[in-house]
Amino acid sequence: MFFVRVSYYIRKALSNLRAYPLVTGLATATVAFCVFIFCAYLLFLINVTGLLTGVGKTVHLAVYLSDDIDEKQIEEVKDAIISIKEVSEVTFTSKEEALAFLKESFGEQTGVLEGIEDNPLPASFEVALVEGGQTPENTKLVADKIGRMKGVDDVVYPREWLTRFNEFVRFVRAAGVAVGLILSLAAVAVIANTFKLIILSRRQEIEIMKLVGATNSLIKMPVLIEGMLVGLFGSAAALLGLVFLFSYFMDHFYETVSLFVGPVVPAFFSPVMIAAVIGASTLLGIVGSLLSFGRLLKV
Amino acid sequence: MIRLHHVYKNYGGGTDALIDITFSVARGEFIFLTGPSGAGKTTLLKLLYLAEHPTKGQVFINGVNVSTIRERKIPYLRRAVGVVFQDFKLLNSVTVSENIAFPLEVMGMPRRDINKQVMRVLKFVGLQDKYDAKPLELSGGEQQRVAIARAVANEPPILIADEPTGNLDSELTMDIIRLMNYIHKRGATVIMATHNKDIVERFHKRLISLGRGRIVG
Ligand SMILES: Nc1ncnc2c1ncn2[C@@H]1O[C@H](COP(=O)(O)OP(=O)(O)O)[C@@H](O)[C@H]1O
Ligand SMILES: [Mg+2]
Repeated sequence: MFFVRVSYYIRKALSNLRAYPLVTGLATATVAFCVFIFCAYLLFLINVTGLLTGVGKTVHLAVYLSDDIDEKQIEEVKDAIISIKEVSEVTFTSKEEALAFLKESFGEQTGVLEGIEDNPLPASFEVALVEGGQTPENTKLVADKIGRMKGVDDVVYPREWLTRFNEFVRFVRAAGVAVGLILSLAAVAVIANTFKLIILSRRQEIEIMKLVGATNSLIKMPVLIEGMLVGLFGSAAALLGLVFLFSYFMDHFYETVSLFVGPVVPAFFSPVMIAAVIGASTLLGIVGSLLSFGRLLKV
Repeated sequence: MIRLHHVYKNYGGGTDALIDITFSVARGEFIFLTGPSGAGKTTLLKLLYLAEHPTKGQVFINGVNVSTIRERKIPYLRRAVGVVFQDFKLLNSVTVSENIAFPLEVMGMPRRDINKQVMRVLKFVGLQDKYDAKPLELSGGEQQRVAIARAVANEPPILIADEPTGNLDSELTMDIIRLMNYIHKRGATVIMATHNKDIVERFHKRLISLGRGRIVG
């Protein structure tokens, strides 16, 4: 009995798809369109956020050491810095290395440095922070902590820039979520309406089925399967389209764009993300088709 | 088998469509429900296949009071009542066989048995070579027979027919009546609405006459 039922549901769903090709085709196209728009936006947002995170990672603290500390003390300071939990990496630059670097950057014009007898450059640490730890508050906290250490002369970081940058990132995130929310609500509304269309095209059939003694689940299940298939194929088509668009962009426009954004390579959705999009769309198909019945089953 | 007890039906307008209807039908009876157009025949039949509910009074089918029945149980009661609708209610987007298969699918009959039973009833109404046609490709009389075939496909104990000869010529009308008679002979309780006086006079069956919502004879 159970298998008879299930095979009926599936057969019925498939024969419905065949009996109403226009409506189901339209519904699938609508789902595909909505998912496409939403995913294109999501992809854009993910890459912009990724780009910003990359930029944020370049924030370092420069810790200048006083000239009168010995190597053992330097080691102690380094250990102390590393033990701060927001710190991810510490690189040491000795006085000599600093000078060599300076000379190298001036290149030909070493004459500028000729007159200098003593090396005036301090030894320093370059301190990188852990991912997500680059907020202005965090950075200031770490800077203050290091500044209080014995043997540390000065801690320098782009305070103003960091504050502005973080405000910008926060704005992008908030706007991104807001626009994404509006987009997904619009998509859900549009998709719900197309499912309404599916149900309305079946109104007569549903009435007849009720009158010959169909239970509600018998009427709902095939439509639920249809909704599921529409959601599944709609989102798959959308993602396929997006893959093509993405690779087209990478082939033809990325080189130009990369001049402005640096060498960050845009990423497509991860497999998990793809599965999530298809899963969500399929679920939306199921829920959407069920909700569309509304009062229609009351006879 | 069927019992109505002081039944009233009001669609929300000023006048009642049915007024104080009381009668009962025994198992195996054949009943003509007559009366002019607008008398309330369709409304009365709708109460029997649960498409409408009485405003007042009680309707019993197979001993079940339909006004207190749990909504979940309604489909099972409907399966005991085959209905030939006045407007056929055939689904024009699918074939004749698929239309007739509906009540069988609804019961959860396996696919193979459904095919066999569909062919059997198609033969019964003389439409075995139309199984793959769409309803709109058939004549009125043929559509009527498809509607009958669907109504009897799951061999329900009760058959309700709402003017099944409505707009057929007299020869086709006789065919349909013979078919209904045959279904009755095989054991079904049949209630058939008609405003055709010839039929009523020609076949001597129990008669329930309606006039303006009341039983008048
Ligand atoms: N769904 C409805 N809503 C409102 N009034 C209705 C409805 N169906 C029937 N009626 C009214 O109820 C009365 C009886 O109609 P009906 O049962 O169809 O009569 P018959 O089948 O004998 O021609 C008529 O006055 C008709 O206008
Ligand atoms: Mg009528």
